[in-house]
Amino acid sequence: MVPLNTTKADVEQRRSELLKVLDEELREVTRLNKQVGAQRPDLMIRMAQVLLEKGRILKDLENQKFLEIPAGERDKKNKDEVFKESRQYFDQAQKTVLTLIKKFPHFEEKADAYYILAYNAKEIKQEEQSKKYFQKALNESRSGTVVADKSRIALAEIYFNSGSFDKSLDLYESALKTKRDKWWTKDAYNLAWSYFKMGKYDKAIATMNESYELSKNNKFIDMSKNIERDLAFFYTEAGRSDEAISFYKKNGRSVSEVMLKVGKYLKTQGKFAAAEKTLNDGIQYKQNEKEEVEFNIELLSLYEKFGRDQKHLESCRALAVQFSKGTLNADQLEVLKFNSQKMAALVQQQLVAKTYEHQNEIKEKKADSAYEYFMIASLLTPAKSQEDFFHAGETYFAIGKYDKAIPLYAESIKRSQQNGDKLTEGLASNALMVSLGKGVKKSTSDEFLIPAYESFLASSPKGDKSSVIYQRLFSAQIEKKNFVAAEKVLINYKSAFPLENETQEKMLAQIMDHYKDIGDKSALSSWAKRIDLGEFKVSQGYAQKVKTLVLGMQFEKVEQASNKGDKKGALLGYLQIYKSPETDVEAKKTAAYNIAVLFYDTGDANQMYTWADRSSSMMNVNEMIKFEKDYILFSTDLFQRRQFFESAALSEKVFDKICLSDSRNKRIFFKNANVIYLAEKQFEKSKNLLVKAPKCGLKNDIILPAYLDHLNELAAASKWSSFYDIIKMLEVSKEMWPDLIYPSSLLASELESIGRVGDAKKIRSQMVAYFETSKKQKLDIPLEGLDAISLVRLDGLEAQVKKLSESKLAFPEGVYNKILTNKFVLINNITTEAVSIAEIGSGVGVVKAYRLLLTAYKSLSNEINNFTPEGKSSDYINSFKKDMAKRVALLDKQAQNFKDTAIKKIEKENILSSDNAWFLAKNDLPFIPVYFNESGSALMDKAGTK
Amino acid sequence: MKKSFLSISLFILATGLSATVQASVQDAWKIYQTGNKNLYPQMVSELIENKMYFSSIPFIKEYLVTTTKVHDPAFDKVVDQLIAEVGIKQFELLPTNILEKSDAATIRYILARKAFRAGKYDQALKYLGKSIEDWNPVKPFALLLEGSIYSVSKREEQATRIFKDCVDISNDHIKKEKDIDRLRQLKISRDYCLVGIPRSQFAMQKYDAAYTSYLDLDKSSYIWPEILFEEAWNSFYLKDYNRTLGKLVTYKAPVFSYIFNPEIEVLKALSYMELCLWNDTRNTVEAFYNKYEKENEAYKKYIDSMGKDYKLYYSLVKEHSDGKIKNNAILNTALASIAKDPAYLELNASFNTGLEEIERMKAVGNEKMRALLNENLHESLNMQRNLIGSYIRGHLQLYAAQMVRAFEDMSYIKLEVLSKMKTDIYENVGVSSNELRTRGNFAHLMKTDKQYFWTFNGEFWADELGDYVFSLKSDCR
Repeated sequence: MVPLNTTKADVEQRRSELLKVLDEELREVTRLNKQVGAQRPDLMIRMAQVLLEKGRILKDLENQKFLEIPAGERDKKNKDEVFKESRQYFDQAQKTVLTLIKKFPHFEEKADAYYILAYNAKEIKQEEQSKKYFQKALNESRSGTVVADKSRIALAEIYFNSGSFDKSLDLYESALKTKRDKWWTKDAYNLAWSYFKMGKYDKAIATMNESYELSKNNKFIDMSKNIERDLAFFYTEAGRSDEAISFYKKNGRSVSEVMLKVGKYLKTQGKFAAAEKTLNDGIQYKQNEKEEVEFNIELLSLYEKFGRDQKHLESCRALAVQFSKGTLNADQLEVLKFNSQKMAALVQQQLVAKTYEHQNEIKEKKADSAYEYFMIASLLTPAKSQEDFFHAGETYFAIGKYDKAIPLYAESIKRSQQNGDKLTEGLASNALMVSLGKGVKKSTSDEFLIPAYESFLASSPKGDKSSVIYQRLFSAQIEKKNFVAAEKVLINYKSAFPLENETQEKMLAQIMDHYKDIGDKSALSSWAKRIDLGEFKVSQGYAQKVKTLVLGMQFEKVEQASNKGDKKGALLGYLQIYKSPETDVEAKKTAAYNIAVLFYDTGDANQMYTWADRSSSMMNVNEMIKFEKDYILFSTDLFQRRQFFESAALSEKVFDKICLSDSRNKRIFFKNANVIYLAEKQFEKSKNLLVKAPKCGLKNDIILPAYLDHLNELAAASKWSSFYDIIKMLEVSKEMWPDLIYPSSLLASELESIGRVGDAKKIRSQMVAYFETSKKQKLDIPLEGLDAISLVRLDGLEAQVKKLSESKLAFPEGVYNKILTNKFVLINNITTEAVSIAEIGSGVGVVKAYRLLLTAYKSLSNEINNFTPEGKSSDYINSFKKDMAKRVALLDKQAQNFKDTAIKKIEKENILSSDNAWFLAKNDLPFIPVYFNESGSALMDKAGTK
Repeated sequence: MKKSFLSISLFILATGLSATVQASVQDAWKIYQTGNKNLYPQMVSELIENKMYFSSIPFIKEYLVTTTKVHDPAFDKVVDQLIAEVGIKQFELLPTNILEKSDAATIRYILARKAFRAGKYDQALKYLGKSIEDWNPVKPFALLLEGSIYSVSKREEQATRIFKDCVDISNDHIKKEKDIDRLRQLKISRDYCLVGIPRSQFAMQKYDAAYTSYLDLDKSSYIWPEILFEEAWNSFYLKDYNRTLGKLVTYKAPVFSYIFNPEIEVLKALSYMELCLWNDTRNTVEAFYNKYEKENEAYKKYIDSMGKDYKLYYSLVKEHSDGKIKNNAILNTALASIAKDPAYLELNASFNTGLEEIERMKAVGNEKMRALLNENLHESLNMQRNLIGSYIRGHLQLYAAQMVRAFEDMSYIKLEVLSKMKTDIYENVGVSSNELRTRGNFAHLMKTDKQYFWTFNGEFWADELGDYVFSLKSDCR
């Protein structure tokens, strides 16, 4: 073999050389034309020939390039563009020849011209045109010339290809009288076929033989392969088969090989009977297994066509054997598959259609052959063999051979499972079920019933019939005392029919009865646990029954001890249950709770706390709610025994448990826990609890007071670090603002005391904002808040009062008047501010504001009254004093009014303020007592402090 | 011997020529004055006596035109004598019916030539059928013509026989002939007869016989260079292409530089082609085109520009012979070739004879007669010069045609080679064979006992000419 690339390279090199030569030829013809000085027809012919030849080579090249383009892209290519260059040469050749014919109508070699036109037309696929020109070329040519013979051959080929063998025959006969060139053998081969087609077998055979002999000569095209193939056919058709065999033997050819080829060829020609005969004869001469396979492959379709069933089956068998040896190629395998499947299906169809209904023997034979085809098919395609087994089973089923069908169905099921074919598995299972119900032998039933149920359920776990099948299978397993398998059935059943509680319950009952009967507590409690966990949807009654059964088994003795007052015995019993690994959670928590109760009863607070804590951990929400009052008792008891931490912890734990429930007691657990945490200065725990509160659905009426408690406790404990943060957190809720004023004032004072005056000022500004907003929204502001606000404002007021006495009256008169005017403006402002403070509503604020107001008035009154201008005449002074006395009187009167108002307010509004005495006390002491009673006794608190 | 006779004549001329001329011319004048044209042969005879050949021509022509039929041996003698001096060309131009009035051997010869040229071979033979005596000066030439007629009409045996007679009779004439020009003509004619035999054999495709017969021509022959080419062709037909090439290479010898034969290159290319030496063939073709294509265009333009001015043609050869070389290789070779052409030489020799007559004319005392003869002489010499010019023109045109033909042949050869190359490529024959071609291999020679093989050493030796043989291995499959 020559490597392909070498061949290709050689072809390309040759093509390239040819193109060079043709170009040179074109140049030479042109040069010659120039030399002879005129267009000459012979040169024009030559020119056209060269152009045509170049066009053909270029087309060959273009075609090669075109075929090298990937198929997808190739379709998109414009073919005119691809073959543009060659087309130009064809056109030029055409044009040259047409000009020649027109210009030289009597040109002797006109045949050549027409031959070129014909060839050109052939190149561009104008078959009719080509034929016309070849005919003209023939008509114009002189007898015996090359162009005459070539035209004849070309025409003969056209007629041969179009099936006009009578015409091709005459033309070939005439053209091939002389063996002009190497193509003679090839043309003679066509002539032989023309003879053959015209029924002239002897001439056909003779011509083939002549061509065959000449093919041995390397001066001729070697047609031997085609002839060897076709001659056998000729001989066969001519009824001279023996001669064919002699021919091939004589020529050292393998008879079988040729017969095989001929057989194949005959098939392609639709000569099936001849093909069968040839192949049947040929197989006798087979040389090896490969050849045998090829014969059988070819024969299959022929046997089928002629209804040779037995032979068909035999061929299939033989091929199946070869398949097992691995000697079939992919195509052959496909043929065998197709045939075995087709025949199997065909026979099966006949049986199903009851074609042989009354011919039992034939029926059975047919079924057996179908079975064999199916088995061959299953061998060929293991991945689908389940279908073949199923169909084989169906075949036997169709003729009522159920005992034969059942194992096939079973095998089909098995293979379906292996191959993951649910559909076939389902069909086979159904069929198996049906077959088992057809009165089969007991041995068959014993062997296949349970597998049948199982496979049925495997393929159809939730089908209409499946529920019943589960129950049958369950019963069958129970009957066989195979409880493990029965349990499995139950599990599968539950999975397939989760809502069939009743049936599940019945199955469960059978299983639990079995364990109860054999006293297997472990198995029982295991099943009970699964029921309890909801794995099985059973009726409440049954669930309770089971629970009771199991708990009963566990608490039976302990309860007996408890009822007898044997608390120690009961405790030990519960502890044992609690610690037992077999005890389930339900029993454990019951035990833990009972232990806590027992310790509460015995007054062992520590143990009580421990078990209350444990049991609460194990209980679910509903259980917790159910027992919450007991836990209030437990926590109260702990508080009373000053085990604050445990009390709070237990309260919080229960609170957490019932957090999302709607239990009303959860606010008790919350408050208790918070109060105890605050009392114990456990601010972090309190804070965590507070954070959880809204999530557990507690409202602000519970939460906010708790926060305020928290803030107040923080202030009390001087824990300022988180103080501001909490204020800021609460600030988010505006309804909290009234309550934030007082704590803020505490914070401001603290800041002021440590010198952070600026920060204190900011806090106070915020306080004022809280106040103003709350007032606008008509929210109730706590009295401490009002006091705090008043105190802030009073600071300002006090500063103004102080300012009033800072500038002193002085003369001359203009200056005096200006100072006095300013003082009056200032006192007017003080009055306004004091009244405003008094209106805040803070008792302390009211009293203090009036006190400062009164002080201011008195101060100004005294200053004016005591001022005497210096260096003035007495008249002036008198006049001045008189005038000033009026103003003093006015000031004093106003001061008296304010005092009266203040006293009225103190009395009417029951104001308790350290400044009350300033208004009320009638003493001459240089100081004013802080606490004052009209009766003169002192008011003391419970602790003896003020 | 003519030569010694001439010298004697000259001697006589020196002593008493004048009186003799005067007498004959006077006699001629007298006849002329009678006005009787029937006496013109006699008058011409008188003039011939005085070597007044060219001046006599118009009288003879006029006599032939005016007379009905001539059956006069005296006239025949006069005509034969006259034509022997002035050449046949002067009379060839006369129409056949005029010439047919005479039975003179030379006239018959002229008629046969005319018929031969017209392809009327039988008619030509008829003209020659009337016996021409062996002693007649035209006899060798008539035999050559006769042999040629037989040859072209494929009557080989007769041709061979006649050619052999021709050789014998020519040799007899050569023995007797003293005039150097006539001697050359006779020898040339004889040699043509000699090669008439192989030519005839060649025509009959008896190449082996022809091959041997050609060897009979002596290399010293005036026509040998021309015949060598025919031998090359014969070898070609014998498929002895190496010998063909060997013979053709002879033409490269400087002594043959005057040979104008483009077909030499054509045959060379053909020989290479027959040896399937495609590249050698193509190279030969291309070399030919490269060398001559443009030159030929200029050549054609040049000769076309000369029109039919025969005087110009005459001068062209004359000047070339005098050393005036033209700037065109084809033209130079053509002129050199014509200058060595036997026919040209014959025409020119006649013309020169005519020129001598001018001198003699001066001696004619009778003024009227002198004027008449001068007019005649002038007319005849003009015609002779025109004949020469025409001959030259014809040749130059012929060469031009040969060049065209050669180009055409070369192109066809190349096309043939290209076809063969294509066939090789189609049939997958190695285009560029790795096998080295060896040149000069003895095994490729086919030798006969008449030949000698000379090792080519780069130089041409006179006695080697024509005997070179190539030894190229054929690339044909």
